[in-house]
This record gives sequence, C-alpha cells and structure tokens, in this order.
Amino acid sequence: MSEVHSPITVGIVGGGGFGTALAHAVKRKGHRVVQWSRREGESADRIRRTSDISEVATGSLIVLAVRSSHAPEICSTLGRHLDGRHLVIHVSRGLVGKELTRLSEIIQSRTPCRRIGVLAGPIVQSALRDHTPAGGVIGTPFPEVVDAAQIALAGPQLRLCASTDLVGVELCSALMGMLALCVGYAMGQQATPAAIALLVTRGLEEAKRIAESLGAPNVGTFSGLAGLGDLAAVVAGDPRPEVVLGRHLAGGIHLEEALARSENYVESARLTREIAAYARDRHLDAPISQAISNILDGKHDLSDTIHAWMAPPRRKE
Amino acid sequence: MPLPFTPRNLLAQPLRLPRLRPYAPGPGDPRIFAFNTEREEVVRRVVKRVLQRYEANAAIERILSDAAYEEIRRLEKQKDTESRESLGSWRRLHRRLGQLSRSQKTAKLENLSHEAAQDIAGNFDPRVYELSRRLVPRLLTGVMHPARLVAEVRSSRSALDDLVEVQGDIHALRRLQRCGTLIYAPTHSSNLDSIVLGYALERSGLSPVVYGAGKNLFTNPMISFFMHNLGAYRVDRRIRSQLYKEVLKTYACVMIERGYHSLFFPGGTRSRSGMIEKKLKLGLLGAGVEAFARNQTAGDLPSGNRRVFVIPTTINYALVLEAETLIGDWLSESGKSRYIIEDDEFSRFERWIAFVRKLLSTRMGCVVRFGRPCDPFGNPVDLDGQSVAPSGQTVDPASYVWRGGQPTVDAKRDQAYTRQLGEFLALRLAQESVILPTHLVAHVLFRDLMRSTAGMDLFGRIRLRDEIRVPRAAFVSDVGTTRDRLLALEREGAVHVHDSLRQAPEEIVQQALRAWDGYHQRLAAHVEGSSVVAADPRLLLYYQNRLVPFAERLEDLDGKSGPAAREIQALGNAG
Repeated sequence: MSEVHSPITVGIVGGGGFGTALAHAVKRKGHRVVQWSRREGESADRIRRTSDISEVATGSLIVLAVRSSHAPEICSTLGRHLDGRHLVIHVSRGLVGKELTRLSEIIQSRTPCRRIGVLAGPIVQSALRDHTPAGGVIGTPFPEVVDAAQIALAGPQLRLCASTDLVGVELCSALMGMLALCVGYAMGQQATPAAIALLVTRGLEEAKRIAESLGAPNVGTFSGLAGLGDLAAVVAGDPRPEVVLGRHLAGGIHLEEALARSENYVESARLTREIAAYARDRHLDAPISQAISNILDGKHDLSDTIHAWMAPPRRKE
Repeated sequence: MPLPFTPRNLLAQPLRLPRLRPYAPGPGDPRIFAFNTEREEVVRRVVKRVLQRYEANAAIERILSDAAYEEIRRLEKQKDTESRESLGSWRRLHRRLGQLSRSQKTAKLENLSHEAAQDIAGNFDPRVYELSRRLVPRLLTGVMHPARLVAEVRSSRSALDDLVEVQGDIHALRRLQRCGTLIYAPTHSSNLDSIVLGYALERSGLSPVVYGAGKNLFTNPMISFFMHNLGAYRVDRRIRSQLYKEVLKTYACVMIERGYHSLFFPGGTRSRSGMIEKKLKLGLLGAGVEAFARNQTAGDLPSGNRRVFVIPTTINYALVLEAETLIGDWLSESGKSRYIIEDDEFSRFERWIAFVRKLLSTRMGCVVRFGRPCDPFGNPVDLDGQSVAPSGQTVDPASYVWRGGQPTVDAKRDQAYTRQLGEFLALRLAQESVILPTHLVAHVLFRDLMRSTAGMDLFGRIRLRDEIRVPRAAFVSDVGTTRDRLLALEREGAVHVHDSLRQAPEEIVQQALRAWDGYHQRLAAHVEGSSVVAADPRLLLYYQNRLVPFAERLEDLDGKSGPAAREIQALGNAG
C-alpha cells in the first residue's frame, strides 16, 4: 500500500461529520477534495468547500455522504453534472422508503453513473479523524472502484478490503446499524454477556432473512467484515452513534432528545421501524426488529422486550 | 479442416447453394448480405482473439486440458459415430499435453478454435432470404389452410399477417439500425420464436439478424437449410468446454463489432415455466458490452465507434406449441438436466399443423413487442441513438468504458456491466410483456383452484384434473375485475394489455376457451353446465405463469383470494 499515486480529486457530497472526516482522510493521503454541502463552509488546504454541487463533478471519485432520505433529491441534482466516467461510493447505513431501496439503486436510477460501490464495515468517524487504526469494506463489482477507494483512502492505518457483493455489503451496513442500536440498548439495560451473545447471534440470522427477502445474492457476506466484523466492533465497545442512541433509550431518555444529543444523524432510528413494517407485511420472522421498533415508538415494556429476545425461535435456526 | 467424406458428415454439414461468383452487395442492402464474403475473415479474427486470450503458457495448458477432459466425458457418454471418430484424438491430447512444446500447444489451440469457429459460423444467402421472404408465409399458410391459398395468391397479405402482430416503435428501430448494431433480446417460449421474430423483422422493414440456434434444430434438413442460410450460427449445447464457450462468445462479439444485428435469447433456453425470464444468462449479453468497449478502443472495423443498442423484446403467444412438454419439464424439476429437449412438440410436424390451424381459426396468434431500445448500460436511447440520462440530458456511452483518460477493455468491469444489464433487462421484459386472454383466464381460474385447495402443495394441486369447478357467472365477473386491475397496471407502465382484453369479460373467457379447445392433448379448461371446470391444472399453471410478477397487484390481498395471489406471486421465486 505504500506505492505512490499521483494526486486525484475526490468529490465529497455532504458536510456532516462523516463526510468531513473522510475529507481529512483523503487530504492526508495527498489528494484534493471538493466537498459540497448546503451550508457554506470554509475551505482549507486542499479541501475546497462549496455549495455549488456541479463542482463536485471535477472529482473522478465521488463519495456520497448524505442522509438516505435526502439522497434521491441530491442524486437527481448531482446526476446532471456526472457521466459514465465518474466512480461513486456511498457510505450510508440507510435504506430508502417502504420498499427499503438501497442507495446504489437510487444512484443508478437517478444519475448516469453505473460504477458504484459502498464503503461499510467497522469504519468510524473518530478513527478517520484521529488517524487511528481502522478497517472497512468496499463493496462493488467494479475493480476500478476498489482501486480508486484504495488510492483515495487506504493506508497503513486504514485497511480496506474488497467484496464484489455490492448488494450484500449495503444490506449488511444498514442491518448492522440496526443491530448496533439494539446492542447499545441491551448494554444500557446491563444485559449479561451471554444475553448479548444470544442477541447478536439471533440478530444476525434475522438480518440474513431480511436481506434474502430484499434480494441479497449471498448471505455469506454477513459473515465478513461488513456483517459479523462490524458487530464484533460494536460488542468490543465501539462508541458509535447507534450504540450511544441505544444506551440513551435504555436509560429512559425519549427518542427525540436522544437523537438531538447525537452529533450524527442516526439512520437506524427511522430505518428500524421501516424494516419492522417490511417484515410484518411479508410475514418474515423478525422479533428483534419488531422489539426495537416498539422501543423507538416509546412502547417499550422492558420485560416484553427481553422476553421477545430470549424466546425460543419460531423456527429452527 | 474438412471432415472425412461420409454420409453422416454430408448430412451434418448444412447445405449451401453453389454460387458462380461472389454476391456483390448493393448500397442499400442490409449489412448481413455481405456476410459470406467476410465469413473467413470473421473466423480468422475469432481464432486470433482466442489465441491472444490464452497467450500465457499456463493458460494454454489449462484451456486445452479442460477441453480434452470435457470432450472425453461427453463423448464417452454419447457412444455414437462422433465419439468413435474423435474420442481417440482427445484422449491422445490429454495424455500427451504435458510433453507438448509451447508452439505445439499453440498450434493445437489454433486448430481447435478454428474447427469450433468454422462449426459455429453461419451463412447468409440473399437468394434464400428472398425465397423465404416470398414463399414461406404462403407455403406455411397453404399447407395449413388451403382454403386461403387462392386469396393469398391474389393479395399481398398472407394469413400470417393476421397472426403475428408487431408492436413498438418500428420507426425508431429503422433509424437506429443505420447508426449502430441492434441486439434483440427477446423472451423465449417456443422454438418458433426465431422464425416468428425473423418474420416480424422482415415485415417491419427491419434488417435480418444473426443468431445462435441449438445444433439439435439443425437435424431436420429442411429447417437446417433455412436456418443455416439465413444467418443462424450453430450452438452445440452438449459441448461444455471453456474453449468452445469462449469461441462462441468471441464469435458473437466479433459479429456485433462488425455491425451484424444480432438476436440473443437472454433466458438462454425456452422458459420452462412460462414465466417471463428473471435470471438471465449473461454470456452472450456480455458479448454486446464487450463489443461496444472494443469498438471504442481499436474495434474490428476501421469504421469503429459503432454504437450498440439493446432492444428488450417480448414474444407473446396465445398458445404455445410446446406448452405441455415445457411445463411438465419444469414440474418434474428435471429442467436442469434435460437442457435440450429432443422429443417435444416442435419435432412433430402434425403438432405444427394443429397449432397454426388453431391460431388461424381463432384469430389469435402472437404479439411481438419491441420495447424501447437502450445502450449497453441501460440508458434509453433517442431517435438519433444518443443515450439519455435520467435527467433527460444526453450522456456519452463511451464514458462508461473510460479509465485513466482513455477507453479500455476490461473483462471484470464488463462482467459487472453485463450483470447490471441483465437485471435491467429482466425488469424491462416484464414491463414489455403483452397479456392475452389465455393468460388472464388461466390466471383467474388457477387462482380459484389455489384458493379452494389452501394448504395443498403445488404437486398435489396439479393432479386435480377436472375436479375444481367455479360458477360461471362469478368466474366471468372475476375475470372482469382482474382485467380492470390489469388495465390499471398498464396505465402505470408495469405491463401491456392486448386489445383483445378490452372487450366484455364474457367474450374474453369465450376466446380463451376456444383457443384451448382441441389444441393441446388435454383441455386446459372447459364449460360444463353453469360451471367453468379447471380441466388441466398444469396447462393453466403454464399460461397463468406469465402473470406471476403481477399476482399480488391483481387481487385484493385482504380479500378471499389474497392468500392464493400471494402464493402465486411466490412461484416467481422458484424461477
């Protein structure tokens, strides 16, 4: 990974915490960044901030770091300035709408871009910002997207693996976000390690069922860094926003306030409810999503929730 | 390499008409008229490219050893004249491969690729094209419907005109075929498909296409003569070696690069279930993507830079010639092993006659629908062949194959593009399908059958011959409401509904029952007193399968048939 590449320009769409942390990581590797956000921001050395989205198109690699609910509209606008040359990566843990549409589908249907990937796994904002060791997965069937991401981001402190299963990695990212919230809640409830192990194992199986129904071609991806690896980081104490939100909820803090306290937008809060509704409509066995969804709705009766998690599964796992 | 002179080889070699001097294509002729003059050149290119691909010593050895292994396996099982003749040489190759020098291996690979390419390469004889253009529709009609022949001779219309309806933007296709290579990607339900499509193209003033046809279709000398001389190339699906597949794919690719409009059935083989194909075979579609990329770089022709357009096409039959065999095959789950069906209705001439006679008498034939053309990356194209991005702006399709400031050919990348194209096509084929009375009536009746047998599995259900009866009045009204929902789906752009479904529900039911009456070995459904009887659930299943992707949207899911509709939709997951 120590080979030297001539500097490239990376367009980053989104001015949130994660987008900004990415911008710094890219700059640290000697590349140029054009970062778009709705709010004006101050440019720094090799990081140009702009509120004109067309400028992002000067990048050969575009990183989409916006909330999933904004993605359709932003992609439509951004799409006017892009063509088939641009490589696009998104970092979202969200899925859009009732049908749980993946972000790559949004990008594909609203921009001319086809070479699309997702950055997922236990890669967190603080590690990017503070340059501490971190790892992630690039999910894409396109080798040039892997190369571009490696060039832009990877280094001795940031290991990027590659998976050709774009759909699987995207679904892992979204569903592990939900499970992280869940584990955070359980930790906040002082659940025993065994209870958390049970929860994680069950949760992973439930995630696979949902992913299969959403068209994941290979649930084996869930045993990789984007799935199990991501959960391991959560259980090992990764202080990510989903976990913090879960802990707050367990502490009796109301959802609105818990969200307000988070420095990041937490996709999982809304997504969990959508996933629970999706599973209900399709008669999928999804007790954990259902339980968290109830908690988020303020309907949490602790004993019920724990009961749901500990209950014997409806079918053999 | 010429085959030894034996009667078998004479028959195996497709017949060509002799020619005193080469055909001189006129300026307005379709590209394919010049094919025979380029045939050797195409074969040469294919061989050259295959050799380039396996340049490395290890790669040559691997591909040769795979070819020997697969061929020995096949021929040992086959036990016929072919195996007696060539098994020995494959075994020798397998034994001696390790001792061959580099140049011997290269020579062997060149030899084998050349043989395969020669075997695959088609032929196009403009005289045969003219002949079939003028005669075949009338001959067919004459054989099957002599009473019409007198009228036919006088009028320029043939009865087939009434049988094959063509839908779609023909004008756009006529323009596009001048600025790029068209790849038609139709649904595949019958061996008649390539004939019907060829006929639809000819009648629409569109250029003929080259296409791969299973070698088993070439066993009938008559069919073989026409197929072979009308641009079909031969695909021997028994051969499983990587080398053969590579030669085949390269042949398809070179043909597209050189501007020959092509036809691929992306489902690979006839849909056994009667469903619109969901899982597409990507091999030959990949040739389209690769050909486009190659044309952006060097290209096989100086005229280079030709565009490639893919046309999602559906061929919708009111009756399918081979329905019984196909659905039987799907149900017996041996579909995978019986990849080539040799003994189906297609090979029995009397079934053809019954089929076409039926179509003529019921005035229901088949609808060929050409969908909106797109580029190899799924962008729709406008009349000038410009790719249109979701924003409505044009996008340069060459941009998709650019990397590091120039167009490139990259197998992995193109594989990813091909997969995307396959997913896109599967969606489009469902949208472009045209629903006919037999589909709708079978669907409503099969749904009733599912409802009244809740809890039973599919295999139990298909054995319920003549057992499920539905009051006729209620059935007709059900057909009416389901039809209305279908029309609503059509307004959303999800599917197309044929005009014959825009009449009174009673008429729709009549028309479907008339169509089934006396064609298949068993009736699909019939009326008895005041009931409609589900006579053969297998046939009903086959015809209704066309509506599987829409089942849930065609029924009130909270209503009495909701669970049945859900079950039908779930059939789609079984493929």
